Amino acid sequence: MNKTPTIIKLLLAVILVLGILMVQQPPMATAEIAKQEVPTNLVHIDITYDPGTKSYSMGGFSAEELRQVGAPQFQDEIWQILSMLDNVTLKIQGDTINVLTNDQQLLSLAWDAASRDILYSLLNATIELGDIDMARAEDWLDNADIEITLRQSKELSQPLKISLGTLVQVQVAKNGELSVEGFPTGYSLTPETVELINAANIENLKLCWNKGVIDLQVNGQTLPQATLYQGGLSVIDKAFGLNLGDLTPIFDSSFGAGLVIGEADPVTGECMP
Amino acid sequence: MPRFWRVLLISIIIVLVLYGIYFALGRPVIPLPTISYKVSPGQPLHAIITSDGADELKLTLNTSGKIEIASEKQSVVALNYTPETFGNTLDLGERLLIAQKTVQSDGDVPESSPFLRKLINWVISYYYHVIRFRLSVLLTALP
Repeated sequence: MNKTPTIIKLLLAVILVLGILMVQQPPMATAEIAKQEVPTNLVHIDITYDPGTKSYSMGGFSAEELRQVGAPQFQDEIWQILSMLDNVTLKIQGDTINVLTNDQQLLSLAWDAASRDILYSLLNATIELGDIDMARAEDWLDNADIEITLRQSKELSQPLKISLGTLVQVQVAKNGELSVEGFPTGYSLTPETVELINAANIENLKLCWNKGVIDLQVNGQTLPQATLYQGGLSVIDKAFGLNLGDLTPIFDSSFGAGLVIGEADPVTGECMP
Repeated sequence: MPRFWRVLLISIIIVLVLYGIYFALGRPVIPLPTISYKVSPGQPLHAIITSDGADELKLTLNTSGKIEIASEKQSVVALNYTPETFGNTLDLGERLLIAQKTVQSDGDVPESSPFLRKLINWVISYYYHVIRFRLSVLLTALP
């Protein structure tokens, strides 16, 4: 056998081997993806107050930080009531609401779908809830895990815990007015921004924040995933003098928003960690 | 067989064997030498580089799908992309650019080039799927 066929045979053999290697799929986990649980809206807020100095701390933010963002000050009557209590806890979990004072159970209420219907009927009589509002309320309250604790203490409150599976629906009207879950915020986008968004044909946006990881979709198209590091953000904070304060509660939280421009359909889906 | 064809065939075989080894190893990222860049006081980046006291900021592009900005002490921000999400970002950027020009009505609306878009997408996909590199730029603040 001369040399030429040998080289060709060798070449064919190499191509064959590499071809097998190329088509070989990367090792993939064959285990079935664990069935995801129904998204739970978890909100745990710890509030500490000191009737002596008439100051309070909420969700890990100090009284000074809360004052800077315009948190309201309580009236004297409220401080008188608070001074009589050591702690009060409101828990909404599953199908019950529990209220505890000084670690003793004060009351327990049914919080199933039927009881919520009664509540919506009562509210409907005063503020006229629409079917959409009731459906949204159910999205938020079904499978909610809410705990609000009021403690008489001089120490800083525990950091806020927020993990929302339900998307917060934000709508931008044609004139730029912003509303959240149907409630006007009083904020508006500038006409130039609205014009730019319309010209770029941007109809909706889905933003998910999960402890620093940002997932963004524009018109249903996924953009690269960004990860912000808390320590790294402090670098930007210092560089630009933003005075962002302690961002630990934000970096411990997860939530998402669906933003709709004009008359487009609401953004669906959840933000699952 | 003429000498030219033999050399060509052997070269192809060597390239294929080397790539086969690279592929079998799981296509590891090949690090390229770091490019250093000095930033003088007064430049916009200087304030960011010096803000955590490290006086260094490293921008790393990993063509396997990660762009990271890190100071000597900590990571600042990271972006994870795929050719698809990168393409979506280009789409959005292009639409916003055209929209901005349209809104400004200066009559100079940039035209999108399908060939250029395909070329960019091909380059991104090639360096994402076939050969992966890591390119770093080290920004150092001058005193």
